[in-house]
Amino acid sequence: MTRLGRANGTLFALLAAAALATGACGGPIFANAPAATSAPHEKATPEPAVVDPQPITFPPDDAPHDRLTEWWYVTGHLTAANGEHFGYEFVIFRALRGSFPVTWASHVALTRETAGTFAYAQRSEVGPQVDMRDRLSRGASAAFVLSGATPWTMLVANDGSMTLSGTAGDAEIALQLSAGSAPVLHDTDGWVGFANAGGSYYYSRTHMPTGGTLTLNGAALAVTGSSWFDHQWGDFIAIGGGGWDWFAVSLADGNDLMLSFVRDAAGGYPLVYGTWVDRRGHVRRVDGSQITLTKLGSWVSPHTGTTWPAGWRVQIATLGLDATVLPTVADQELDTRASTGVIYWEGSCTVSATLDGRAVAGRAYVELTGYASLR
Amino acid sequence: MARTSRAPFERLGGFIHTHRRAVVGAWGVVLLLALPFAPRAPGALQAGGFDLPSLESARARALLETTVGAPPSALVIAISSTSLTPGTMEFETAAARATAGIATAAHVTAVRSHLTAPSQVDVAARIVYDIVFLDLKPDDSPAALPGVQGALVPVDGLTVAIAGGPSFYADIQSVSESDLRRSELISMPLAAIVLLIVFGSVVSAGLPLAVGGAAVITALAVIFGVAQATRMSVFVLNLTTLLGLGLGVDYSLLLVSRFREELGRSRPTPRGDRRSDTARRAAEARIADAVRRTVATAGRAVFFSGVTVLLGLLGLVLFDFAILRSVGIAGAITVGVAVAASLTLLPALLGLLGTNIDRFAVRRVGSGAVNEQGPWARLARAVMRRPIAVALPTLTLLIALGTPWLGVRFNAPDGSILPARVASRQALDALTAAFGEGDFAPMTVAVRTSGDVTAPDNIARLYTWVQALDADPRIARVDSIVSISGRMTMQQYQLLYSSPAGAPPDRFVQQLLRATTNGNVTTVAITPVQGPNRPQTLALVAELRAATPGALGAGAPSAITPPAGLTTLVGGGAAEIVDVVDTIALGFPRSAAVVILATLLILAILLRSVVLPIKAVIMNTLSILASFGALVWIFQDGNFSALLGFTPLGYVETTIPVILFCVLFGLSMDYEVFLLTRMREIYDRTGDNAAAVAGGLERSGRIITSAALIVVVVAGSFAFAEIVLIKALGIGVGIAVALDATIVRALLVPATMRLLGDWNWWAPRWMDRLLAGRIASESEAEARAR
Repeated sequence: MTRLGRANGTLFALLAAAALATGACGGPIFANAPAATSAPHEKATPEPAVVDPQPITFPPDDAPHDRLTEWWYVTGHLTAANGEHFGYEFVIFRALRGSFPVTWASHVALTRETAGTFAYAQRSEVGPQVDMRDRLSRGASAAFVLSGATPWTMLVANDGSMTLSGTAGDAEIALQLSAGSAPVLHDTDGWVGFANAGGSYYYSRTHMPTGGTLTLNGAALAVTGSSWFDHQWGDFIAIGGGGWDWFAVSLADGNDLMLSFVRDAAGGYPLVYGTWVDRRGHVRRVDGSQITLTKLGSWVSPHTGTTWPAGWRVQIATLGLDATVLPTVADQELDTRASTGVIYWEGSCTVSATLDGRAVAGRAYVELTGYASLR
Repeated sequence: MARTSRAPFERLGGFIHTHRRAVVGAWGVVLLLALPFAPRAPGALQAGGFDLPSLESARARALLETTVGAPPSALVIAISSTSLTPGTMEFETAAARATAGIATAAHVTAVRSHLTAPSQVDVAARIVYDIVFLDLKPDDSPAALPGVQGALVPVDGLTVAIAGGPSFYADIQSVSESDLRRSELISMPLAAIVLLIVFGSVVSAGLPLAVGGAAVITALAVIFGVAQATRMSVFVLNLTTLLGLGLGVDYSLLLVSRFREELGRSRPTPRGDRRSDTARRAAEARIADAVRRTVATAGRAVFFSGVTVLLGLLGLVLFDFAILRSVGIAGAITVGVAVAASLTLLPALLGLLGTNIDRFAVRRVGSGAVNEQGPWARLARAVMRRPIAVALPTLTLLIALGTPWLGVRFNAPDGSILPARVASRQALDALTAAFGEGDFAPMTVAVRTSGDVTAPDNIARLYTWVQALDADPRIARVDSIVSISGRMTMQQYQLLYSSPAGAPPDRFVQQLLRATTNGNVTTVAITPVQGPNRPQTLALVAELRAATPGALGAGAPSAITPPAGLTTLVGGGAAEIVDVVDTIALGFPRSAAVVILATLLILAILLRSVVLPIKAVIMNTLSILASFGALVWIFQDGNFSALLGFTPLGYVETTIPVILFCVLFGLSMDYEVFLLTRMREIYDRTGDNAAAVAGGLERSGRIITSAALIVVVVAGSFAFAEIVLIKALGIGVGIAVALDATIVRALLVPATMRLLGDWNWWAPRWMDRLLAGRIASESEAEARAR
């Protein structure tokens, strides 16, 4: 064998060994660790399932709930020492939308019934900082502060009394509300089912003696009156695909009435319910079939072009009630697209009624939604 | 009479020598013109180049851009701290100060703050991120970086870094440039040393470097000009240097070596007569003859070799992706310039230098005459004595080296191809460690419905499908108009979106609807549990696209396949990867076929044989396959990653084998052309196959070894690159060329040439007649030149 021949033999053996080694290698050699695989994104934890309805208890249920929608809604009628009448609205909305952070909105409105003017303001804020329960007041079931040049505050004490401060136009509102009568659970147990649309917990304090100060153009005005507090929460967003007409009627004889007419997309009323609270605090559910609602007029908003019902006749045979509800001021429209995305009408009204044939006056707050086009 | 019958390359050689000063002057002017532009080429190149309007992912993005105003691109601002905790006043105040100016920076359309998206906050890891939406297409998005970077304010206690596609692209560009500088610093001195050893004198060694340098400078200037008209990839930069230097030096080696051989062949003027006019004229005639013969023979081989390299690179131009097309265009420019410099500048310099080519010798320089009994010839004869015994193990080795290729996993790169020192890589690592990989590459599905999306029956379809997506363990999160809350029922969604007011009475839902839905189009964003280039995420794309027959990457239907009534375009994240990988994979056979056929044709013309081109293509393919196998073994499996300094990818980036194939097919063919033309030359003269093989190997052995060594040095210097893809490109080229110049050329070629015998040179008579009449063979050219 020549030298080259021997060299070739060695070469071939090396080649074969290399070929075998290539295929026989186990793990990688002279290797760095593979690219670190970051911990896989954890599958989003589903929101805990809830079973509705559950019993409502106080004061815990004055506090916020982890539900899609919740609001603390106060409307009231105030009178100043000079005889001037006012209506007001102060509402805090709270929304939880899956991975969105908790979001808040607030509307404050003041109707100067004597002057025939209406002013409102809106705020919104994102984040848990609005809920100041733990920091602001240890004795509060709910404490909300929406930031701004003048913070807006709503406190619900453990006894149900409330403190409100907010601004609307050039007016500042600072009110203290006593708890008044016991909370009223609507639809018997405080749970209102909306069929496919979900459902809502709903209770009210219908008669909360109110006192405080309205500051109008820098001039403080002591006021007294009565307020109506609604608290609703639940996994609902829109009900009926249309809107609703809501009435909070406070009769001068101490009887109170809540009526809710839920409209569907076609304008029908798939859900009508009400609650009658007599002057002794007895609560009675009012079935929708017993209620007749007649629209008496309408008003076209110069701001949005929306045609709003204006004036109603409410008849409830089983109560012997025949009431006429008329707005104190026509223009009590709130364009709150910047905060809650809707245009609604919420206004103070006068009531003239007969109850079991007896004439009785009263005041009311009416809320109308779903009439304005957002297109 | 003799002049008129001369072959074109011989005439060219004569012309160049006659006008050698003018030619050198012309090149001087070209270089003077090129010098101001060549350094600006890196700045004119762009990262990316994977965008194609016809891809499903691009169509999805375009549809969502035009219908719902989806932003075309976005970047991520990672805000972290070692001392402050997200959610606290201190952290949020500092974060707000640091990022306050971003919203008004150029090209920024919106910012999704972590304050409005809890999923962008990791309190435990003390990191949050904001998403900055841009009005630029992904490939153009780096243009937004200066504005955003300028808007960031340094704040004590807070680290703010930019991550995401735009910064990834920008960092690739800057690291590529530093990789190139490093590679040049390593390769140029090494190449110079190799050349000095091979040629033995400073002047002769300097010529290839001069030609290679001229080729690179001129090519970069031309590329700068081309980049003004069309998108050119940043990867062009490294490839231009690799090809320009590699080929310039290769071709110069061949020509210089031949020139010295030709000078050595002719009888030198006696020492005593050198000062006489007659002697001077004789010496000049001898140099003129050497130049003419060099261009006629080696120049012709260089030309055909250049054409084969060019054809290989043109295979890349057949792809629609800008990254591949631009690499092909730039490669073709570089090869063209290298061939032009080798065929004009170099012969002119040779003519001017004459015998001074051996000045400043560092060792004893031989005459260049060929020893037919040299070591290469002996090796060839030894191989030819036992051709099967050599061919079989050699083939086995090459195939064994190629076998890892069977397990190749193609994928597209992410930030991990950048070195860990780069800010965008660090930011990405921190973000993916905290939030998972999927968060930064969600899939975006453009969904079309029959009629308005918000119609109850469409909401029902959408809801049912989204529920199925949500139930899939591979999917972390789904964002859509029916994913507002897990507590909402289908009926509630139907009611929500059927508001007679024309918009849902809910601000969040209105915002969501505006951002995702318009008419009959809506967006469904799917965040996978794992990163976009993980197998289980890629499988999601196949199942999502199963509803569209013929869609790229469509697989078997599953529970997450969109139901009838929903027409979908799947884009973003893994879908973009599937589109790129599959499109390249589909286009590759066509490109490869064109390259192979064109190469066969050129070689058939050059070698006047049918069998040799086929054999050459097979040899070439084997060495390329072996290099592909090495690519998988090293870069996918991670072998030698500790030595080479990279983090194993676990896959092979799709463009690399394609670029490698097209570059290597030409480059390896280069040596095959040098070798076979020499063999053909001897075969034509002797008619003896064995003598042709041994003589061809001997005559080309030193040149090819030197040329290959230099290409391996230049390509190998890219092993020090920080970008893994450039490292892979360099190592792939280095391995293939090394294998081709050693095992294939020295063992496999002689063995197969011996086995095929005279069949090597077979060609149909018509072809032989046709080519003999038009294309002069090497021996004919040589004979004429003499």
